[in-house]
Amino acid sequence: MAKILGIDLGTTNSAMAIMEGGEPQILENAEGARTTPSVVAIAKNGERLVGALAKRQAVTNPKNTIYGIKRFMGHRATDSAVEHDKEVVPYEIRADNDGGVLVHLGEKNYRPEEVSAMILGKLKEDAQTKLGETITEAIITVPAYFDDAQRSATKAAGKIAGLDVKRIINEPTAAALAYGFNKKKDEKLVVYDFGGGTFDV
Amino acid sequence: MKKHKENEEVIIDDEMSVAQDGEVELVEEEAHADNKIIKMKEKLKRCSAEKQEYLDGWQRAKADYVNAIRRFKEENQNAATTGLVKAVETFLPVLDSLERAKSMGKLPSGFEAVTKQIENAFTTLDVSEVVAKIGTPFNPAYHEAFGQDKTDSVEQDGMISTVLERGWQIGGMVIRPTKVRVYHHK
Repeated sequence: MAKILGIDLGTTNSAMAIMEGGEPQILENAEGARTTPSVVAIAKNGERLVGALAKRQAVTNPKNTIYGIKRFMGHRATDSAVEHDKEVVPYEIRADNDGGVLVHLGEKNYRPEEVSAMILGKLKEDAQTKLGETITEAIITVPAYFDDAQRSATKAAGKIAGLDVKRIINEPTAAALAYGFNKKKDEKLVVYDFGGGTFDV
Repeated sequence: MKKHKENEEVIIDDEMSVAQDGEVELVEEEAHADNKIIKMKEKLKRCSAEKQEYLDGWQRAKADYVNAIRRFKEENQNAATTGLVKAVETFLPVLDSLERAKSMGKLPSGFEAVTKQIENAFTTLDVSEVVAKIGTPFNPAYHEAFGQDKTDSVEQDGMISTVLERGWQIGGMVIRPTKVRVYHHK
């Protein structure tokens, strides 16, 4: 029975885990790290870089290094948050014919889902190498405040990466499940999420 | 004669009553049997579902066990390297501080000896410096860019212009990439 990969697709970093013996187990990526920077780049030689390698060369290649793509997931190009970020990020943001967001990377324009799919693709490949089995199913976490469009976009990203997204769950819910709140006595938990891009309680 | 006939009728009535009772019992038995079959089918369905659940759980546990054994073996093999990486990472700031002190002027001979001792210890542990020479191509697999320096030469574009902090590796695994600045041609 194939494993279902649990993915925390973060604004700054992403992480992946599997359930083993009823407990979540974080998987290390190909570089031996427990988190992978949510950064995608097309290097000057045309090579696509994802994760730590993309982050390390960001200073030398800012226009073709995409970070914080999660901020644009499920957004319209005219949204005030996008309008603001457009002024801040070094890479180019455009609007597609339907008013959706496009980011310019290399010689092409990509939808945020496609960029996220590149991150998910790397996580999937690294997990497959680590586990020695094919991964086809995943559960992806999203912030509790994500609306339907943002959740759909996250699911679409998984699909592009070749993953059957079984469920989209809220990040604080995932944290509480990992703690095992459903196995213990009746209690109230406060979940703090000290994220790189956001801080939620 | 009449009495005899009456008796006969009573007997026939009794027989009919018995026959009717028999039919009722039969119907009741059939209904009971049907109920029993339905219940047994339900029970079989539950048992099948439970069996599948237990089978899935057993298969999962078996796969987890096989994977865990494989991972334990790998972790055992990597444990020495992991421990070494952690130890070296702890010592790197010490070496960095000595390096920075050296860049400010000549160090007292004792400090030079300590630096040399750490470097020798690293060599013994198969910890080597990541090659990052000025004028060689920047490679994110080994180097981390912290800034850019303008150049008029097209050939220099993408080459390392300054080494800010030495990088280290164990075997082929980069523990810390070399922090560099990179030439940029406009």
